[in-house]
Amino acid sequence: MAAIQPTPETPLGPVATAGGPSRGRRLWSSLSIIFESRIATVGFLMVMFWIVIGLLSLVWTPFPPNESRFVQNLPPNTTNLLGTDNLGRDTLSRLMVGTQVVLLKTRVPVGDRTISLPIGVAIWGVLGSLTLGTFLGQIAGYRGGRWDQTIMQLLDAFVAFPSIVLYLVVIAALGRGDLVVIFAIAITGAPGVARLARSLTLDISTRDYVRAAETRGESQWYVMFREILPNARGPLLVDAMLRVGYAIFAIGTLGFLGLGLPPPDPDWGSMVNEARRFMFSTAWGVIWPSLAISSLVVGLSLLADGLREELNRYQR
Amino acid sequence: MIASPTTGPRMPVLKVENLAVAYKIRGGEVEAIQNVSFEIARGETFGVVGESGCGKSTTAWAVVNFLGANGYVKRGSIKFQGQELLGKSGEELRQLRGDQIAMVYQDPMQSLNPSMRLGDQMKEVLTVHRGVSDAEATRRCVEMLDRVYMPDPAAVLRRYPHQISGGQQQRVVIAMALLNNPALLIMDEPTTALDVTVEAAVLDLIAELRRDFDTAIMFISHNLGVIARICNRVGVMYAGELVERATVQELFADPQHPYTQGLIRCLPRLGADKAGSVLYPIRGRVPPPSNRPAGCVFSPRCDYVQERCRLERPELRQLPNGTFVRCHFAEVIDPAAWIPSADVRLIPPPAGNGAGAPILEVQGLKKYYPLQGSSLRDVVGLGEQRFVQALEDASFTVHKGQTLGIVGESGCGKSTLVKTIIGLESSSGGRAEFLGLDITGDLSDRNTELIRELQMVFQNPDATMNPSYTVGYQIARPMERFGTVPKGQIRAEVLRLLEAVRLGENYYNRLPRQLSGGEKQRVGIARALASRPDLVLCDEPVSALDVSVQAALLNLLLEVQQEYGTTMVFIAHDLSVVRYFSDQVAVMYLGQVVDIGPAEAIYAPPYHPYTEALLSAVPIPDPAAQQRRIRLEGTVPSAIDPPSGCRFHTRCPRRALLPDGGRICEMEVPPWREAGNGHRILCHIPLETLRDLPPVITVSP
Repeated sequence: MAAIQPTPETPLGPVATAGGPSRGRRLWSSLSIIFESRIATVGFLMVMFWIVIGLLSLVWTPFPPNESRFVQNLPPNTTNLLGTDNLGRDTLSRLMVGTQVVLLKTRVPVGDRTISLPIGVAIWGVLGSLTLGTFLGQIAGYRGGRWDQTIMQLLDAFVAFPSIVLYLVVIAALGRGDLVVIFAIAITGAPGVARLARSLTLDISTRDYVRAAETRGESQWYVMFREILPNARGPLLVDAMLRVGYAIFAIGTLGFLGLGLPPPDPDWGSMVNEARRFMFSTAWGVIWPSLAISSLVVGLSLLADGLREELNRYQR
Repeated sequence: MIASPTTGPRMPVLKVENLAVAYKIRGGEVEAIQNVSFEIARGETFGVVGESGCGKSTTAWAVVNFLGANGYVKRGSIKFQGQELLGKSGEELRQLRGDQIAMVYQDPMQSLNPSMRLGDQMKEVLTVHRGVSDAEATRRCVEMLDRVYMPDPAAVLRRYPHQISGGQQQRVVIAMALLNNPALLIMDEPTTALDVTVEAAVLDLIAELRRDFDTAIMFISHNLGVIARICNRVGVMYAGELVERATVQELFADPQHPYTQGLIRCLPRLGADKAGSVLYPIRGRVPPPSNRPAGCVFSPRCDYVQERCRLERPELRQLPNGTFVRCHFAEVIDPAAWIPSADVRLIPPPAGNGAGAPILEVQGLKKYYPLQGSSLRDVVGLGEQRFVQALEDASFTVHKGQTLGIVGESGCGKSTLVKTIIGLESSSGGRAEFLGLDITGDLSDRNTELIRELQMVFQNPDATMNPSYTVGYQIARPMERFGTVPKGQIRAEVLRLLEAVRLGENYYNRLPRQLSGGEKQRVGIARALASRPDLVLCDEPVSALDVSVQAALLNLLLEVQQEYGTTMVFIAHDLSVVRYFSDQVAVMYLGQVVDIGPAEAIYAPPYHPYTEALLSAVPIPDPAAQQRRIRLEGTVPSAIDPPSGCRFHTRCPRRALLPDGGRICEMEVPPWREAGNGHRILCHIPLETLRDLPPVITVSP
């Protein structure tokens, strides 16, 4: 056989694919990460259950939630599937509507009237602490030195107060109302978020792409919010999900203390509080809202845990 | 302890036949390695070489049954001293591993438990596997540490891993592996994380121990130079298959497989420069295990590919000269007749492109980092302020259009120098001028025009790009920021740059995670060029990449430099790469430039004693090359309290050349000695004496 001549002109480009994925596809691919993990899927279904219940309650409940039309303190029966409360109102209807203030709507007084904004108190509160905490944490982590010392020492001093005391102080100072609860949740959550954001910033700011941004003389704000923040997004969002759980707890606690969201709309915490007095005759009034709170919180925790695991694996 | 070589046919210590390892993944499994066969005899070092992702480590893990939860041996057999290892129970294997097979990994810090004293970790090997008493174990540990040339072994036993240097850690790991006198030692890139001088000493040690203990060694490395220095026989792995198996002499003198030939062509020979030679990268890249071609695994990248290669997978077969090769056409391929494909041919830079005007002038540049003491006096601010003298008296000039290469061991101030020049750190003293403008301050002291002219290429391909943004955005950003390109033309300009770094238009919308390491590095280069800078600082841009990617990238940098007339400062620890790429070379030691001059002058006598030692340590991918053996003792001293006089005097092997054993080196800072043609050496030894030293490396034709 004759010697084979090399065939140098064979073109060999890199495997060509079409341009980048569209936005929709990217959204779907980040959503599909939930279903990679069994834990996250279970959590997701639990949360979705309550969101669907809440949405349904906006248009339909078995009975009007604030109307006393039944016998008081009934156990579950065929008419009132979950029984009735101490004023003879249908527990199922109240439970369904209770989802709204937590997850779906916020009532804001405008003059004499009250208007409802979308998205619930717990979520607004967490968004507030996320914004405030991320901002402070990023400055502390990226600027370092005195900024870091000042911000973190102040936040640590703040953390030294039990959060329930902070809630009480805020409510005592500003009165009751959805906005006040949001404010209280945002303030008490911010130090934790700030710590997480600071540690993520410290880690990410050692990467070369941050050096690259600095060597083209980008402003500190650009580096913090355009270079670092997008890469800290994952862990911050997972943390925020857990925090929504805590916030729901906090609202429940406030409601139980009689300081929560103002009546007449039911919220789960005040439902427990009202039913507490009759607990030894009919425990149902306590059990249902407690179950609601815990299942939503557990669902959020599972979702957050599963997502965290998947994200960690994803990043590796 | 020296065993005489037994005569006659010897039973191999390890015999691997037709090994296939598969990993279960979601939706099926992939075969990471296929049909791997080799054997290792007593007292022999078998090298396994190949690019990353070719299955080198998987082969080693299969031998020690360390494949993880989702990996298993699918086919084949692994015989250790005649016993079949496959199918043995976990407990039997565990006994065998601790007793007879030992493994040394790349990063010593990950093999040593940071919370245990070294003595306790080492003794455990003996007390657990051999039931040796504690006192006896201590005695043998000390003996073994002594054997691996560890200074003061008894004291080392009481230390924790972080208290000794990286080279010493690797010595401890090797000593630990040898404690049970294993029949087989598997070393997975044992020197990759070490500096060249330390690497050379560790390789010497491994070679010596192999002779003395008559151990069989399986040595995995991506570095052909290291393989050439230490191995008897070599297996070349590509995409999960062993494609060539030969003695080390045969492999380098007469490589049979096109992949092996390609690998060798990728490497700059020490002494080769860009004017006289060209590197030829292998086109394409290693296919992932899930997507290997049906025929010969190398066929998509092979220059000699025929129809048969695409259809039929070749078997590993023996050639008349004893080499095993997995290629249909090994006999008829003549590497001498190889013609590089058109797209990698480079026009060599115009010879003698006279030095342009000086663009960067650095005089006595210093960078001290203040050190926070821990005593009470320090805390209240009364203690004496101490400094890490990361950069002390760096002086050099870079001319327009030229490349200055900077070499030195880790911790010698290379990166600090670059950070100071680019302005990530302000300097503590000295003078630095870029185009006549002062650049001793940090970025906040510089105006946008100046910032634009200085850009940087980074080392780590995985950190050089922001994972959140597309390639196009990241290259466009400097253009927007500096306004070098009118808004409407940015996209076109980005595409042109992508073209210049040999990436197509379809990369514009990709995210970094869809890119390979080499591609990310290309984007990093494009981004640095986007502001059309006059000076680009490259901090080890190729050291994290495989050799074929490295060759392609070096070519790219050369091309870019020619096209844009960019001046470059190029840091690398690989002396062959620096020699190939640079016009001027500066050798740094402990924050000082000790040897500077034209590249060819640095690599020939007269040498600075440190340069000489570095050159002697470089692993050369040519077993026939003669290299004088000079080994430095100890490690680079601390930059907090650098040695007086000449900073190199504590380790200098040439001090004896001076009268009085080189007392003057400890007392006085050495003078610059002009060796002509701009070559300057910082040394007390007279130039005439240095000139008389023979060259370190002689390559026999």
